[in-house]
Amino acid sequence: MAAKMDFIWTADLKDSTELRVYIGNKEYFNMFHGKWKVLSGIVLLIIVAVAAYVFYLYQQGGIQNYKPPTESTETPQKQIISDLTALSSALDAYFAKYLKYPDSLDELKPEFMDKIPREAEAKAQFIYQSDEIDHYRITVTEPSRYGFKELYIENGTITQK
Amino acid sequence: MKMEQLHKNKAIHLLIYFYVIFAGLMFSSAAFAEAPRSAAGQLEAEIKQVLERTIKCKNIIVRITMSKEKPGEIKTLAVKVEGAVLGNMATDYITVVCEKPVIDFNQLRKAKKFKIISSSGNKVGILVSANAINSYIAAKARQYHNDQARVSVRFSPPYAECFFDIPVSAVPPKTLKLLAGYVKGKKIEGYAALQMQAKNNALYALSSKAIVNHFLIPGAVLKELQSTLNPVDRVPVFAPMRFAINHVNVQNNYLFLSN
Repeated sequence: MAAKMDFIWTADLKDSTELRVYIGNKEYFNMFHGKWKVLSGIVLLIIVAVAAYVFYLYQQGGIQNYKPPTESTETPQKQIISDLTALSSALDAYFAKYLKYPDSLDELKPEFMDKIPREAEAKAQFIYQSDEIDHYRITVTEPSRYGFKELYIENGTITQK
Repeated sequence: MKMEQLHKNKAIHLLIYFYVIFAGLMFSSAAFAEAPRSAAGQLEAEIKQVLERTIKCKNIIVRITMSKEKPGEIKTLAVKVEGAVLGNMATDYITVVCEKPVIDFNQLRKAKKFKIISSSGNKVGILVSANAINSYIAAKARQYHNDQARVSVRFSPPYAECFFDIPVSAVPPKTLKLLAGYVKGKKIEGYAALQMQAKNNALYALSSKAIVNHFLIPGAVLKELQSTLNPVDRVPVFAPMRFAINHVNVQNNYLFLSN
């Protein structure tokens, strides 16, 4: 005898929506009732979550999203170290091209940096000293704001005391 | 009257005498200062000539600074090579600065070979523009007969942005297996934001974001992709100087590699 499978949706205002599966005349599966209640709920939840995730991945993949991820904001202490390192690297790149260090940090624009960072907390300009030939130093004006007595980077080596 | 005239003449002679001595001193001190500079200039020319024979490039600049404390000792030797091809990649500038180098003069003058016996330290900086990278990728694609592959790079510090449109046939099987769920047609088209790293001349690309065929690639897949594709390349060593690239920095116009 071939099994007959009927999916019957019944909806009424008193009860919740039901999905029943009959094999022959016997009710085999009734969603939201009995032992299937929890399992079917979980399965449904997984399906919805996966669909939502796939939709999210698709939605995030448009050409308008062809841009780098946004940088998370860092603590002022981490930020100032990162800015000093970036400046130092740009100075070294400037040297690699011109065989000398620039007169001022502004000369790093726009070839090596988009904008010259300012001190994260004090919003002041970094103090830049160079003999142009083989030495430079970038000093933080108020290192105490970042928990240091001294904070500078000299020829690529950072000093934090 | 005669005595007065005699005194006057003596004073003039004395003045001329002092002037001659002073001028002589000035001239000789200037000449002494010029001597090491001209020797350095001569050495710069010699090194440049030898390097030009071995390195194919647009221009070479050699600059020597002599030590003020120890006469005759070289304080720094800087060599800048413009437009050289390093391995397969055309670089814009390669600059090597050696501190207190000891040059093998025998090799330099007799064998016309430039060799540094020792140095107290060296600093290497290599600048590669986005154009140079794009040409390099295009050349690689041609080399593997993948003319339809389109890859371009743009610098947005701290990321190197990569836009690609590659036929599926050009993608290595391992990579394709990882991306199987995202490949529907015959092409892999998308975008990747890369952060670069280097260790002992090996270059690594770490992707913070990648989009393939309109799908944002999940972090777990990205990690697997990274371990399959890295290291993406190796920086060949610039023949006369030994160096190891350990830092990469993405800047506005250049990828900056340094030791």
